[in-house]
Amino acid sequence: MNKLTKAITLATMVAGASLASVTSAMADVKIGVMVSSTGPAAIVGVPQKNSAAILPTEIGGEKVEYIILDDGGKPTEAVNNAKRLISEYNVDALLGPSLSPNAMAVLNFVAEAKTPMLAAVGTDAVIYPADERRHWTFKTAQANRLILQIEIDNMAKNGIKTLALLRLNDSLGEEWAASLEPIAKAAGIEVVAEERFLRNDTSVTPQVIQIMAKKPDAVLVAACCGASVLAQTSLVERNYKGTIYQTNGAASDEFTRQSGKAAEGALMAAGPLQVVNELADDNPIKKVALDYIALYEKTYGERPSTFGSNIYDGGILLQAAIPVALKTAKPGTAEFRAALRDAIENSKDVVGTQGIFNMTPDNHNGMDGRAAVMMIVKDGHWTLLK
Amino acid sequence: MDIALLLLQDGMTTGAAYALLALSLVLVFVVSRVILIQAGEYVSYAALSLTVIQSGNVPFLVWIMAGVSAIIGVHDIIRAQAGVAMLKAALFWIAIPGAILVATLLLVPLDPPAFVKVLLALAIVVPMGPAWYRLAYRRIARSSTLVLLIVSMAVQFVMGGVGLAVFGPEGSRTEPFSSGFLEIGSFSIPAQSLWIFGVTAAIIVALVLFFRFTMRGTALRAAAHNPNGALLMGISPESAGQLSFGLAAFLCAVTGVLISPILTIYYDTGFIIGLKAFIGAVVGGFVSYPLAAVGALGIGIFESFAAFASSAYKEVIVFALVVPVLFLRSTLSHKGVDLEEGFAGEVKTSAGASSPLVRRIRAMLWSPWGIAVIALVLLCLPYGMNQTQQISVNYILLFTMVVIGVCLLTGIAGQVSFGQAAFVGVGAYTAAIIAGPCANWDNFVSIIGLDFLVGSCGLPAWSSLLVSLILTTIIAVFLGAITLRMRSHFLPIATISWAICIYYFFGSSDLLGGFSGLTDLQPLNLNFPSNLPYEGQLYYPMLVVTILFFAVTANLLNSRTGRGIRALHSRTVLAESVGIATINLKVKVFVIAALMACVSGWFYMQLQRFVSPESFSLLAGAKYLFMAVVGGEHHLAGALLGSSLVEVLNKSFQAFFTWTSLGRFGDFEQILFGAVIVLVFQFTRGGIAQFFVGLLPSQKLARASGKPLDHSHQESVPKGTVLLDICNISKSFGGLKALNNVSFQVKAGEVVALIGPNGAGKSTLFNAVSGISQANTGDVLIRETAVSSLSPHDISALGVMRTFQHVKLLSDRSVLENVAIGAYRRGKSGILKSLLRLDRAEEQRTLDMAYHCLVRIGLQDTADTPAAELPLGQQRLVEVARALAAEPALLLLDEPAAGLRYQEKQALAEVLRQLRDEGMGILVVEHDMAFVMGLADRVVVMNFGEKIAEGTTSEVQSNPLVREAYLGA
Repeated sequence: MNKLTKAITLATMVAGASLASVTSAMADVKIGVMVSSTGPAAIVGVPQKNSAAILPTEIGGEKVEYIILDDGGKPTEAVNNAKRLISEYNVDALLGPSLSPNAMAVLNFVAEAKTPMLAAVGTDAVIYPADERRHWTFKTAQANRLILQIEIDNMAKNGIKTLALLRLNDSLGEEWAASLEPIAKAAGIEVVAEERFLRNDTSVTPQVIQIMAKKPDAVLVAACCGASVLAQTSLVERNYKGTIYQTNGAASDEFTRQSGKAAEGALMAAGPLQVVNELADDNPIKKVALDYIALYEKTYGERPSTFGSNIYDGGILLQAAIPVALKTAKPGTAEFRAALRDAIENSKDVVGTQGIFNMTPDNHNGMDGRAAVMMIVKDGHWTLLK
Repeated sequence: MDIALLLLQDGMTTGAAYALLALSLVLVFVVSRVILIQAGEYVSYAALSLTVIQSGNVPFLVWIMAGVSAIIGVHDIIRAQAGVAMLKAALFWIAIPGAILVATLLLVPLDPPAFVKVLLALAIVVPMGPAWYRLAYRRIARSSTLVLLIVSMAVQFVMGGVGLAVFGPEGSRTEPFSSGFLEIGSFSIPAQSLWIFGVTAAIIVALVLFFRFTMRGTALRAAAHNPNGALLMGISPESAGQLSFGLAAFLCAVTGVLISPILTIYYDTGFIIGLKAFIGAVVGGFVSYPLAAVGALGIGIFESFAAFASSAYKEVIVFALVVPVLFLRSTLSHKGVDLEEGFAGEVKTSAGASSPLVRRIRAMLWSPWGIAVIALVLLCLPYGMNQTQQISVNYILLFTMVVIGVCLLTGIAGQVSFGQAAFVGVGAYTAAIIAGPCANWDNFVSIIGLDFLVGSCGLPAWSSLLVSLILTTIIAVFLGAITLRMRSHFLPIATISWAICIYYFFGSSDLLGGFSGLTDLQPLNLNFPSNLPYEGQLYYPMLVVTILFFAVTANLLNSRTGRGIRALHSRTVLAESVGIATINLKVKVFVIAALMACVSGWFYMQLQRFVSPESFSLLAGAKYLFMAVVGGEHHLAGALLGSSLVEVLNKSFQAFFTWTSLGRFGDFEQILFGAVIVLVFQFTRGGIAQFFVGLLPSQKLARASGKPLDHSHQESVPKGTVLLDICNISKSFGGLKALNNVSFQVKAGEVVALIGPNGAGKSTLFNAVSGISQANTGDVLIRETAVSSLSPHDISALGVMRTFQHVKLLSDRSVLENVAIGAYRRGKSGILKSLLRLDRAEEQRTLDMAYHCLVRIGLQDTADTPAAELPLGQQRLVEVARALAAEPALLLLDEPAAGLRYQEKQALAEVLRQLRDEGMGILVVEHDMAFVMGLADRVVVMNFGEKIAEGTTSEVQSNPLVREAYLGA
């Protein structure tokens, strides 16, 4: 009977899936990579996919195989990919996903499968509260709270009393809005307006007019990529005279290039990768970051964005943790996955391209103030704010 | 005041860009009926190509363009018969694209002036228009609008995937044509906006001039509706299609280069702009260029104000407005009943007899042993699969549940809906809130103000199914009642609009977790069979539900209501005439489809244990429609086939690209997927179901039992009672008086013939009597009831039945079923009885009655033949039999004898005489004078909308006015 059902299954499922499982039975350590390399978040996912492809294929004397699956930005697909990587490829750890909702969606399943996951997302909700569900999840990107804290400190220093939030109407924007409220309150800064726009909107002028009517001292643009550019240029075009703060979603050369003159004077807190050449030579991050940039440029002929480094840093954490875990168990076993998780949780002073990781059971991110610095656009480039 | 002007100006800039796109959409639609979903892709292609050129590089796209064109060219040259065609192909597909390639390669490194770069970008993109027409549409130019639309979606997949592979995910902006601002009073208008206004206006004027005043333009316009006329002007439908696609690509490309300086363009930016333009064009009516442009401009302006008023709910507001606008347009544009331009296309007759081998396989499959094996395989399936395969199978079931509803609604009832995903969302969200973790429930009840429920921790999971079904019914009845009144083209657009509304509502609502969604949902407590993983356990209830859906839908279709539902498909006039309240029935079908989607959503949440708006977007809704059409939307089996094909293709492409690592460079899955779909439609006409039709259980054609008939329904009207009383009715179309002060009566037990030359107003009179149109003045009384304000199905309830001059039969159904439709009013079984098969006794009586009517008309031998296979004359007789099945008091016959042979006419006349003697009143419009004169008791003669004579046949024959009208003396 089993034979018959198998035959029918094969007929319905087409050979593809089985082909894949045949080839994957060879490598020793298996890492599943989940990225959104197509769809609306491709700008985040493509450099991540590229970065995963240049991670070392040997760690601690064991061969490492990376299985990269795209979820097209859809949480449903992310869940399917996670289940597939766990059940079919029997991966030892997961890198990704790229997006916060996707990471939230897979949380339960990685916890149930007891597989460590290094999420490359901004939201803190994947690691806080540090409960049963989040026991197996780590986060390699700077916490949004960290970015906001540094920016709000800067605002307070500059005497800013009122702030308007111009954010994307999506999960990313929701996360920024939720994080901003308590931090701004603590610093005594009042959020006087919250306007939303869509990534693909052709204009944000109406929202800008609405904001300007409230006369805020500063505007925080919580967006990413081209949307950050649209918000920046629209504010300047409408003659907004206050200070414009961007989030680390604007941390790219594309932002300054596309915004042109409108970008001058914009402020942002972001990972040090963006201004790596300005870092002091004794900063341990500098070497790691420059190595990453060189490797990426050699392979793809272009500079990596900070999104890619979030996956790459996950790889760096694994490089430190896998040799430790190998001492107690063999890859492909539940014991190995547990040992790997413990090893990641005990990461001490692991230097990534974006910061330095010191994990604890209560802090599955482990980055500190060194993971974000204030920057300003000067002469068409992001530079360290001194 | 200042602010309003600023918003207006901002909205107009966006609107002008939409307007250009809207023009191209209208252009392509008018000529080829293709809805150019991929319009936006040309926008991104042009903008991104320009960026690449401005940065001093050659866009890779030019190689693709030249390569694809060359392949078409070589193919055409090989296929060409004449030297001229060969030369044409070589010039069009090889020389011109080649020249563009060479020009790009030579010029780009020289850093030419800005306008040359713009021209190059346009030149690279425009040839892709005709190329796509040639590749994807030419072969299927005569397919239904729905199929063309689905192919457009597939083309959009391919172009989107290629866009990502060629241009990468980064957005970009180009340098503006002119920077700075124009100061008018206190306002500053960005110079780039002026460019957009100027170019848009110029192009509208040029298009209007082209189509009004040039030969080619007129011919192009004619090509859509009158291919012969266009051919006469020297334009074949193919070259018209190519030309329109080229023009459209040009307009889109121009939009791209115009908006790229003010907007960051991504590889996928075009889609949403295209959608807004599309909505604008539809609001403008989708036929007139200036109106489409105005509509698109209006959308832009409204969007701007909506963003100012509430940036969180902007899209909800914009798209919510579209629904009432469409509703108004659709009700105002044509009075009366649907024009029957079927968006969903005609239902095709299924292929002829299947081969002996296929028949043998079918017999094996559906024998008790075959069914037992199938059942066993289905039961054991979870034990033979890994988790990934199990998830795929579960998804196939989830999709199938929704797509059964789509097949019923779209394929069989002809109502195209893009919005089913929204109902999936209602099911999923309801389950997530009610049976999820306590936090969701507490948050929900506290926000809606029911604080006392906080802490009660929701309801049991199975009860959430009930709640979601109730909720779905309420929403579906509301939406259906508004949107299903709309006509063919407005309906799909309306469903797109509310699908977007509901999606953004899910996303913007804090109640539902916003775009981040709701997470940490509880699994169902199944634990059976305990040795299977959760996914395997969930498979069984889903399988049962899917089979149940198939069974009840098949029952429904094989019933009185089912015949009514089939008649909704581009046969609304017929449906109304036999007494079906079509809107009512449409809403019911819509609710059934929505409930199926809702159940699928409920299971989706149990499987996924996470909900976010993404899974219920417009794209997801389109995917369900897509599956239905790919599978074959006219067959229920198409639901399973389409769902399986789409899921299996997706998964195997994903596996293939993961395995080969090719996928690291771009979205090849999507490209391949789109290409396969385009190919499927090039070589099949009814989705893949047509390959499997032979394997389906042979449909039991409804047969009659031969028991004695039950005539209890028939009411006897005393002879001589006035059945139809037409008093002084007049009707004019524009300035033309179609009816002028016409009066006459038809009594029980007489045959009245209405004759007159063509254009005398006979059909107009018929339509006024049967309620399809209304007279301007005067009254029509049927059995003393004024009918002017009644709908056709209410008029039918008075005991009136009619036949049609242009035969209206369900061409793929058997003759007997067609006749049985006529007995619709005589039955009582509703949807619920049909679903549960409790209508069998009544169904048997109906079929007996229908068979009896066939015997009466002499067509009993054709009872099981599909109606389309009869000669036209016999199809008319089937219409008469169908009318008899209702046992009407008043029978209206529109040219029943046309196309009949002499004996058939004699037989028909004999039947009509019998009916008259039984007391029926008959009004017959006929051109066949011999037939009329031998049959009619009285004759009414009309000419130029007026009654010129009335009397016995001999009275009329001797009337000089009549002689003048006919003989022109």
